[in-house]
Amino acid sequence: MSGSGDGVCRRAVDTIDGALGTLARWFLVAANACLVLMLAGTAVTIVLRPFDVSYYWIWPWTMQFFVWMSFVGFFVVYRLGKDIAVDFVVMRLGSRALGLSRWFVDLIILLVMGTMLVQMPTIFESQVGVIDGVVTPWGEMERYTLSIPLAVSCALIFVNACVDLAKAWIGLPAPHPSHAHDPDS
Amino acid sequence: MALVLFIGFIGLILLRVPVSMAIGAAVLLAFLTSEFSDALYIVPQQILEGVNKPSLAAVPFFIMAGNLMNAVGMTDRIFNFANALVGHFKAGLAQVNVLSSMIFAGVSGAAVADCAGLGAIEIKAMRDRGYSPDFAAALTVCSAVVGPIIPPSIGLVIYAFLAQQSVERMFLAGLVPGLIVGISLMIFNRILVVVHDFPTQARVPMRETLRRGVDGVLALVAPGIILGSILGGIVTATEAGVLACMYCIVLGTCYRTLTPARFWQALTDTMLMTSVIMIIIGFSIAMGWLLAIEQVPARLGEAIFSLTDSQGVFLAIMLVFVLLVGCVVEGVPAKLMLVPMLLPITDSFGIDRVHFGIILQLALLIGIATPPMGIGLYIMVEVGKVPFERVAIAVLPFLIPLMVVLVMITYMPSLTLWLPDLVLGPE
Repeated sequence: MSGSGDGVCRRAVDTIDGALGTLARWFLVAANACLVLMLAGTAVTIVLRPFDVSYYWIWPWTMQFFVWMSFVGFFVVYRLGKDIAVDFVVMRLGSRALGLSRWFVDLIILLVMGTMLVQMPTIFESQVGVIDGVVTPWGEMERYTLSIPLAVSCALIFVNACVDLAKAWIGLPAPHPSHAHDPDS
Repeated sequence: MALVLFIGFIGLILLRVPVSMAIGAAVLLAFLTSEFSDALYIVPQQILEGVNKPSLAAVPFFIMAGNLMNAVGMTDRIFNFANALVGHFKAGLAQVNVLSSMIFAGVSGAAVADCAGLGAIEIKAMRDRGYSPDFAAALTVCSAVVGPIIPPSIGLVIYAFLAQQSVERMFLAGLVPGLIVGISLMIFNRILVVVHDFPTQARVPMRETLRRGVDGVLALVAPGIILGSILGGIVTATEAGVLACMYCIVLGTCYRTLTPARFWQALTDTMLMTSVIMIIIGFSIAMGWLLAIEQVPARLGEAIFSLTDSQGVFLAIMLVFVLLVGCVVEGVPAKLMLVPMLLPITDSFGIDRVHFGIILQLALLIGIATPPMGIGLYIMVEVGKVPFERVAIAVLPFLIPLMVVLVMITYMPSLTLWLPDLVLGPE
């Protein structure tokens, strides 16, 4: 690749990477907002119970936010490198293996996310009807709205993996992983 | 097909593929090698089905309760109180470490919150007092095992969902084994005094103990509030999680320790951890669907029955198998892979599902303290600044009491079932 071509490529990668970083911050805010709304809705239910007051739409909305939070957070998890990963085997094999594993991991992510994205139209078509209780001023929420954040996150993780491959290609270092801990434990 | 799944999954994990993607890739590979290769839409469909389950909505709140406990500084108060109570014993701070974890476990549902929050305080205190960093880190990992057994527990919520058991029964079943694990570690610490010259500290005056008790009493009553409200039928498991979070928020506001930045960090940590769990669950549900359709559990059951029809022998084989899986696969994915396969077999052997759930929980939790995948060891490397190899070696003696308790719980079902049967009645 020529010097100017290299520069253009690096600028393009930086631009897309920056945009993904900004989107990740917004997604983090959105996912946290879903969590706060889940907490608030259930807290209201508990507080109002002794007064025999209840709103039938709170629980369905709580579940809606729960699903949205999980799927919106999916992209943030990958962007921030917070999924659980085991480094020690590859680390012991040396820096060359580490470099190769970066390509391998990105290709696996592309494979999984690509497959998910290809199947998404079928999923959207199958999700017909409304979700009982998830009321809005315009009527009850359509069932397909549950899967929109999953599709968007899959697409963004796909792009993120492409950007990381491009970074590896032009020799930029991988972001330092700060993997999450075992969620069960 | 099951082999493709297991070998694919473990191979990908060892090649540094993140767990959720490793499960996803293994599931896709298994689908492609099955007769459902043209029905890959089932994978995202099952993910959506799997995540949208009301019984799992409790998970983020029990994670959040632990994070908030750390954020509002309750961990310091718990530690100070435990120190006043048992700090003057032989191997005092080691006993404080275990007792603090047992108290913390009553609010938090995750060992990670214990290791990373309380663990940091415990290790610092033990190092300052002259305990070896390796010993402090190793004990902290093992005492954190108590967290997800004593209710509330995220792992037990997930198991209840998988095995179609009530969360209340699972929580009650975990209480006695959790206490036994804690007590066994304290006994082991006392035995270690014979070979180790642990530093001692003076008894805290009664007035100071009372002051610290008052200081920490609000943390001590939290487990009672959570468990009591569930068992009293006042709230559901999810609402109990919210109640725990509200309680921590109120305490943080009263103590003026909960700043917006700390609250935001607790939210972010909770959201990230929940997302990881839910995506892993989603992929695992797709895997469970395929295993069931291909009748893998039934065939595995037939194979095991051809080897033995003794419940005791089967339990021994299962323990070894689960411990080995726990060494290389993390708790949630391991549980999600094992439960659909093993549950039909344990049913055939007449093993109570609640009993099996507690065995599985403890056996997989021991995995957080065993190399190569022991996530607790990795946290200690960060929190305790101890090399991985050293903490991995230092942890080995502590596996003895954990294994002894595991065997006790496995072969004495009454230890697990006595309390739920007493409170909720036999099933």
